[in-house]
Amino acid sequence: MTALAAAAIFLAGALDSRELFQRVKPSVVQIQVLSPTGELRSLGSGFAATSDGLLITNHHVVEGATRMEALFADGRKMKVSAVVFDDPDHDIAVVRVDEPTTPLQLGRAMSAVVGDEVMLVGSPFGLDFTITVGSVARYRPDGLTPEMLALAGDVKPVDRQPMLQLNASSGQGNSGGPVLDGTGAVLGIVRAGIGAHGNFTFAVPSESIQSALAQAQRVAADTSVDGRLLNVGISALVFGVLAVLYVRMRRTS
Amino acid sequence: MKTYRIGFLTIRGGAGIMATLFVIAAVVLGVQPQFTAAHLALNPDQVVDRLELWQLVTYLFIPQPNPFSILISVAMVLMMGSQLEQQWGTARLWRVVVGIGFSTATLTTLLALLLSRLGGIEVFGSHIVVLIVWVGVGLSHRRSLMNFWSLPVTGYTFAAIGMAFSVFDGLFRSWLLIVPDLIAGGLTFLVVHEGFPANAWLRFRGWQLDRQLKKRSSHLKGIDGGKRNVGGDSDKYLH
Repeated sequence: MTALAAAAIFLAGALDSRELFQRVKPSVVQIQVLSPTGELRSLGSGFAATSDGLLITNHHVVEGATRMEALFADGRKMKVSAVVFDDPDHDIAVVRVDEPTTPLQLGRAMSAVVGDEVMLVGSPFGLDFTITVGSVARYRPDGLTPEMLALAGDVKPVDRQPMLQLNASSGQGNSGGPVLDGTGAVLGIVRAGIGAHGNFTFAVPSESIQSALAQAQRVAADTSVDGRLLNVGISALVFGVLAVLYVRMRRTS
Repeated sequence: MKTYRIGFLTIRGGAGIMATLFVIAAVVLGVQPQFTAAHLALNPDQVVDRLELWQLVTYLFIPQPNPFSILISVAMVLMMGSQLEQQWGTARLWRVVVGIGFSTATLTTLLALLLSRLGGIEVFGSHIVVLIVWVGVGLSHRRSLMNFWSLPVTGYTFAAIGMAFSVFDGLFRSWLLIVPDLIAGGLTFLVVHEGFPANAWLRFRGWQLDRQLKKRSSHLKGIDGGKRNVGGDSDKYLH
């Protein structure tokens, strides 16, 4: 009986999801947007894209945020030290935490076949590290047409960007979370859900993420030349200018 | 009061420059809220971890991200800052405001090393400038009467009202945000009322001199005034 149940679970694909989740869990984060005093304002999801702490999420998750933290599945919390790259048009943001992370590999959304199984990991409605299993519905290289936009009232007009349409439920808080294929490669990040229960989910495809990540790495490389030394230099310059202004003010007053 | 010209803009006095900086910072805050909050406002953790030491000064000119706060900061600095500037001169006004602001940020950052929760706060410091000028105006009037919304109050009461406003405002947000306000209020009292650091240095020198004189005279003994000195010496002190 037990063997039969195990076989049934295996055939249904549940076992794969379980293994897949265990494998990707260390790389998925909950992005918490905090007030200046540390209270939770809103949250989204994200994942580690490099081993040196670059995380991918949505632009709309980090938009207007002044303070953020990344919560990992093992309970570790890391302060988001900077938004390295922000692309409102594609709704992608690359943020940094100052500790090593376990990255996920990027897959190819354009090659995804309709009907392929996918798994979404995120924090819908604050339910941390929740998985949703679904399938690829369609790859839409031109995003949604105006007619579709008129029907789906809650999707913004900027959604004329390439999108991966999924048959999977998502909710507020899933945004930025990875959409994974059966091998654990990231096909995209959750962007919006429509339908009564958010059961039609749209994801930013991995090709757009790849391009954003490359630009973020360039920015990060430019600014990583001993940042602290640079900061001390900038500080000395600011204080120097202040001192000069003060001396001039003293002479003239 | 000196007038400064930047293109078509004419700014009157040091208080005018402060108000202008508030407006510029408000525009930067509107355009780049994330950058401003992360790198120009005071984040004690960031100052220590990433050595963004400029935050110790730049935070002073960043207003709270709401129009009401920006307007209040500009109006208060123009009204009360100008009053202090007439009394002290531009250089002293700036020295006091920036000096106290810088010291407040430094002490808050040092305190954050002991209190980890304090390390995560973000301080938008225009209200600290308002607090310094408000308390400064009050303390410089001491016991003389001032006008507070048509109510006659002493300078001390006026300063206390300013402090209370700041503390109440902080209480509605978080007690952690009151810490810099309390430090700034205390430092303003020391500087404006007690003449710190110049008077403190004089007092220290006076105490040092007093100690030296006591040490030098420790071997001397006082003698009874009516008693005749041995050897006809008129000095009342003997070895």
